[in-house]
Amino acid sequence: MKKLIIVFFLGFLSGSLFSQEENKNYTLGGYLQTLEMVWVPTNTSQWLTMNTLSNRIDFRWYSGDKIETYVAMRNIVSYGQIPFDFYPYMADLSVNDNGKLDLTHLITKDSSYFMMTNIDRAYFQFTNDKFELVVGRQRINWGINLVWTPNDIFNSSNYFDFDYVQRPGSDAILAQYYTGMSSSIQFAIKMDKDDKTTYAALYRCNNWKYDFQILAGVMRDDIVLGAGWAGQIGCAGFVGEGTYFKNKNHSDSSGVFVASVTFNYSFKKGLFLQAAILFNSAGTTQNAGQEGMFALDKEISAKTFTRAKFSTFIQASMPLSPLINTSISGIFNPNDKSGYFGPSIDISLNENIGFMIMSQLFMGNTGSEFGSYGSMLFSRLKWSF
Amino acid sequence: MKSILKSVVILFLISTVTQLNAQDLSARDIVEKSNNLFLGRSSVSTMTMSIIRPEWSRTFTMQSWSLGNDFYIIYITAPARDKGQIFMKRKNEMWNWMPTINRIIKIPPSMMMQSWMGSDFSNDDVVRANSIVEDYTHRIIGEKEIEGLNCYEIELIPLDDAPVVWGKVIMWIAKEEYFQLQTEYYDDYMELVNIAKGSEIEMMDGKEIPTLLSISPVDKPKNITELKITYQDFDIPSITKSFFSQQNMKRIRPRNK
Repeated sequence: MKKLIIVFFLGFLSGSLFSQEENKNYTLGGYLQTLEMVWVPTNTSQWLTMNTLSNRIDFRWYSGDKIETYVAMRNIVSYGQIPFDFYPYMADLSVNDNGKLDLTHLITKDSSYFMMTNIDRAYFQFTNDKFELVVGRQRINWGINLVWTPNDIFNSSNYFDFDYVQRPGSDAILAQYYTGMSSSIQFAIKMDKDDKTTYAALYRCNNWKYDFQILAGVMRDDIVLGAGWAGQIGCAGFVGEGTYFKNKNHSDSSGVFVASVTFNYSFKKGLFLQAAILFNSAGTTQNAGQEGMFALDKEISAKTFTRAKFSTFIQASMPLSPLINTSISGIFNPNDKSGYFGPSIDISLNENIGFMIMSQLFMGNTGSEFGSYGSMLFSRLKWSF
Repeated sequence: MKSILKSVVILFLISTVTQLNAQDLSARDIVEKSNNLFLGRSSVSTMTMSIIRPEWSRTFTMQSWSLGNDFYIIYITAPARDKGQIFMKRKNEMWNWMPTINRIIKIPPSMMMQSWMGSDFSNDDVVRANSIVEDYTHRIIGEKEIEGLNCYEIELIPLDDAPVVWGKVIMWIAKEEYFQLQTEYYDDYMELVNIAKGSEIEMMDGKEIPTLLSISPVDKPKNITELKITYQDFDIPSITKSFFSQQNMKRIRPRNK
């Protein structure tokens, strides 16, 4: 408990000491927040609760014009009934680090709480004219869509993990050469904890007011070929991406094609609508439920966002005032008729403190994709510095 | 951020600099001169945008690098939550670099047209900076002294097929300096909707410019959005078209001032 208090105190201190900092050769930022979760599992009326205090520190240091160092860490303590009921499973799950380097450390745990620290960024970036080299733990984000990103073969992420937008990093090397104003060639390689590697090349360009990209490489056991775009039809945003996966060890296995397309449109008064669809050629049209207690507790890769053949997503967001943002999103599996519904409201209390309430309501029959997760309510108070 | 930043910056920069003298110009010439004074010029500036309401206010600070009306990069320096976000515009295309998720997002046209953070800067009045010349007919209807400067009072009536939301715009443009010191926006029923004002004329990089732009809806006069330039420098040799690349958007760092 003492360690816990010290870490959070340091979090506070770093925020208040450095938030005023102007242009120096470093920047420091982050947040300190408390997140309350109430979970109502299916088939029970019992409410389970958990509170999570977390602190993030982002530190960038510029040595001259050519070298940048970036280190970011999270300190997290969760306590309450849910860690107790799922002890030690939940604590163990939280400190799982998929990178080649184990940069996640369990500080302490007991039946009712656990505390951990995780370095999710730690890299050097070297730049020379049009060439960039990034070495270390980093996020290589090749995705284009909001929810499902089949091109994101290095760091694809779980949409339901709304509280961790930065996402875990990969232990990787990225080399990038800018061939024009909005075109570049990238090559990246990463290694996971199990020594499997992902490496690929990506070419990005801009034509006819569209951004395009194509990629080819290997994602762990699969040869991958992918392409994506971001553009518009009329005034509406039109983005999409697709990737073909083929097991490199079994030449007779059939390939898997995963693709997602999104439309979005902003209306005058700030109403923003978007709709997306995901197609997975290997997906099932039967019940698409899978193991895992929580919606968050899933192995996500660019190939396996869901077990369903088709998934649909729709979201409407709208500011009620400059201080209050509201949003409603939904995901629906048209085959097993299960779905997710997520209303949220985000309120700015002052320049740097925000309060958010959101819900993740999962609905469906037993065995369906979303049928087993129950309902969750979150409230979050967040101070950014 | 999106459009409104773009708009605001463009409008603001347009209404600055000049050393030309007013001669016998037509109303259209005056508006065009006021509009074009910044065309092709590069600048860097540091700005504070405040959304002011009777019960609360919020402030954003940002730095910009721009070349004419078509190219700019904006770096958000505060509040902490948005810090480090970058917007880049090249002609009709716009991108947003979000360092937290390490991704460039292409901003679709409909979003570029949207108002930003509930500020009182609306869209069509400012997004199409050139349209105050192209999309209207112009007529000098009077004179007035504003901020101690003699101004032309010019009425702008949109052309029939122009993509403009306003029924009419009245502008007060300083005769000598071509600053747009006041602009009134009327709806289709000729009701006054918004009033924008330029003021606090200060010396920036050896030139006097209005450093404060404020806009307020007529029916809610206590709702004000202010944009204050705290630093501005013109004609930066290193800012050429190639400055506005995706590589530079990701690499750019905030300046000392």
